[in-house]
Amino acid sequence: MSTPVLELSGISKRFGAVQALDQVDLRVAPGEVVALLGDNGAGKSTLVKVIAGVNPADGGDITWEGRPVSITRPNDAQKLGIATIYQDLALCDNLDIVANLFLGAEHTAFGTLDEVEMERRAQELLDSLSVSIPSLRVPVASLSGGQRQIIAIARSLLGDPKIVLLDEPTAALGVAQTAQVLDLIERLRDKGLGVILISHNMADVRAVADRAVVLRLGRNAGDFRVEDTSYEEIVAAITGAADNPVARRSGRVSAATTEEA
Amino acid sequence: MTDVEATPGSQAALRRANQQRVVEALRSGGTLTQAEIARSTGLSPASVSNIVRNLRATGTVSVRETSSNGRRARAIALVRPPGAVVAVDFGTHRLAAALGDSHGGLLARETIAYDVAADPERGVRRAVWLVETVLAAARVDHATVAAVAASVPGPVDLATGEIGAITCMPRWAGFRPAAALAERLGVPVVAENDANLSAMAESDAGVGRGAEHLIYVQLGEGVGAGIVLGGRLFRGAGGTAGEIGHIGLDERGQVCRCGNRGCLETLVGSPYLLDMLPQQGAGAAPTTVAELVRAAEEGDPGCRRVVAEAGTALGRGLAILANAFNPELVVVGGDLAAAGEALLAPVRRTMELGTLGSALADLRIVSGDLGDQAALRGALRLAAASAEQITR
Repeated sequence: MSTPVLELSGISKRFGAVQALDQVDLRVAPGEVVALLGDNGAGKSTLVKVIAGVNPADGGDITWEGRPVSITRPNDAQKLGIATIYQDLALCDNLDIVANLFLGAEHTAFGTLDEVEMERRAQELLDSLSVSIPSLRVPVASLSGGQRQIIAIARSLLGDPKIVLLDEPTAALGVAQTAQVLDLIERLRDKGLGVILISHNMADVRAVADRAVVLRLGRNAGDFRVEDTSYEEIVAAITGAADNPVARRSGRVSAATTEEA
Repeated sequence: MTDVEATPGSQAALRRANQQRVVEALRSGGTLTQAEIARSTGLSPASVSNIVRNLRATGTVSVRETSSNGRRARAIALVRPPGAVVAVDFGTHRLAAALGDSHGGLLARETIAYDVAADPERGVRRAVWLVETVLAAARVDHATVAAVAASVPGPVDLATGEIGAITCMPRWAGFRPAAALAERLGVPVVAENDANLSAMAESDAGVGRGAEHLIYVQLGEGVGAGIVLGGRLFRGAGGTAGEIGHIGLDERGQVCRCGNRGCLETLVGSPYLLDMLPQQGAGAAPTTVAELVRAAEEGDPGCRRVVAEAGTALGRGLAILANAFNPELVVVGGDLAAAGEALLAPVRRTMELGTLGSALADLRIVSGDLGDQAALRGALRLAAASAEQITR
């Protein structure tokens, strides 16, 4: 496997008495989709915030393309090439697609907005993602949930990131719209970007992810190649079914009986 | 379930009828609590409890302790036979999946746009996702699916399950969709040609009901036919019967992907039709067959011409089939069939010139009833039939 773009090792984060992350490892290679799975409170969002620089880690190392870096502010993450798309998307409903894509990074010519250039680049960007949207000049409020998600992802690509973090991109979407977002994730992978996908939907994870990293109670609870792993194994890792007193005891009992036999 | 013969009207017959009612409620509702079963069947909670105990003893249902509105409840789910079946329809640019009951009736369906032709592995992976999504939405457990059937737009080798070399999805040549799906779904899968499945669906439940000898023509990227003779699907020695797209009609026509010139496919296949349109008219030229048909209906002369010529070419191909098989019904399906009489009138006119009068006398040419669902419906029926074979 090629060198990972982003590698986290031994990441810890504590909020007062709560150890939210405890020695967590994660790596993402170029052109790889890594699903980050875990129950509520497992530490997924905290880990995302560590990577995005919103909530820096207390301890642990972050390497970017082989060299150690520190991410203490969202700016650091952006400069490295990490784009994060949160669940609320942060789109301006009243502005059109072009304005949303270039929000805060507007192109200007002779002191005024260069709408023509921005529209051309927006069209180019959406074409490169094989996204077809009838008009780029409609307000974002009129788009479907899936299209809004796609616009939010497309906006993050303008900064030429190497890693895209998606927090529950398919929650609350219909089947056809979810399919569009999954298509887009496949295209990001084809372009050689690393994708970290947080999702609760196992079908979505199995449809696009290469690896599934499971967090449980702030610790690594498994790292699976999705192709070779059954649904049940991943769910067992998420729920801790393989790691509880009952399972351990039955393991001991069966081990003991095999010894006797 | 008990298979005791019971005299009608007796206590035993009543018990069996009630039991059937509970099974039907579970089949349509997925997992239900005992109270919900009582409400939906109208049976008393006590008799539901008795029936569930019997069904559980025979292994037909599973019982799980749960809670409903904070009170203890028992969640009942069907485990065995009254099994669900699943159908997957691979189009070149479209994927559909459906959930059916044990008789192949449609319960739920979803369609997405997907570039299926680009990569068979990815197509299968996305199809599995669609199946899982449909099952999850219908609250049907994976384990209750008895069989799956897949529809593919190309000939499927009867012995190996491989897709033939010359299809509208060249990257799928030699791929075994049934095996790939079965590996991911963990359920037996059969694959069949889309025109064959559509022929079965139209003859069972569509416009072809009651027809003994029927030919279904699927118009898409390519042209395929499903041939039903004496009420049974005719597959041929290797499963490739009905590949009528490669009937040669014009020795000076375009070179076809099969290597010959002027095949029927080069005269009615959708990429060829769209290429024929003038590109410099007012507004953009249609980019899909559906748009082409709409433009023809609105009176665009170029589009009308293209549809009519496709009908003429199709008529020449069908004349050959009619002479060979003497069917009583030809059903035209696929995107282009939406053109209706604009397509079928030239078909009939041309067939009159090329067909034996006696073969034409009883022949009706119609467009299908089931539209783009035909292949999916046929696949559900095939899955139900193969589920029956498995359990026997």
